[in-house]
Amino acid sequence: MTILLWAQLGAELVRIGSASYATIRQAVRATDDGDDAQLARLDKLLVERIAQADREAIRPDA
Amino acid sequence: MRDHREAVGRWSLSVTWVLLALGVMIGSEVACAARRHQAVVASSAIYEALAAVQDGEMAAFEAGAIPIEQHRAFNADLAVALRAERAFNSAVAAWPASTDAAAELAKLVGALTRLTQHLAALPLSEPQRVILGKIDAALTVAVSLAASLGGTP
Repeated sequence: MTILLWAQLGAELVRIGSASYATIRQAVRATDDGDDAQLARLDKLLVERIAQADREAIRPDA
Repeated sequence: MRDHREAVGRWSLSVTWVLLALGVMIGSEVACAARRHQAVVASSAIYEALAAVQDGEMAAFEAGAIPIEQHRAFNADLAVALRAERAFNSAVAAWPASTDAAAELAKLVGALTRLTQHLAALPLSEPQRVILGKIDAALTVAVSLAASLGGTP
């Protein structure tokens, strides 16, 4: 009887632990996806900014 | 009865190991994600500061406050800083496969420092001092992130 209770308790703890891990993993994944989108946006903006700085660095006299 | 106790002991030990392993997995997952997110936030802040610097300098130049030679020289340095920021941004995007983020960040700090020195040599009006303050803010963000990464992102 006792061993059965221990088995149930152990199984329940592992189930809760696994569910917590899955939830946290999902939250981390969502943050990563948001971060990836932000990094891609920054890269695109930086390309435009670099092109502008390059143009201004060789700007001809007025 | 003794066998029964031993079985219970073995079982509880196994459960403890499984829970410990889960704890370690969760901890490392969260720590890694937090560091990458911190780097993304820093990269965004540095970009915003550099964009404000570029727009501010351009406005000052168009208002006739900056001679064209200094405008060209400034933009040459700004392009270097923007390229360094882009390289850092790419290194963060490749995280954790890449270990280059700290190295790219060091180059970015160098480029921002050079930009600050360059601007400090200009005869600055009050609005231009504001521009310098923004570069300093970007530099502070980069330096503090570099310290927190500790060379092993």
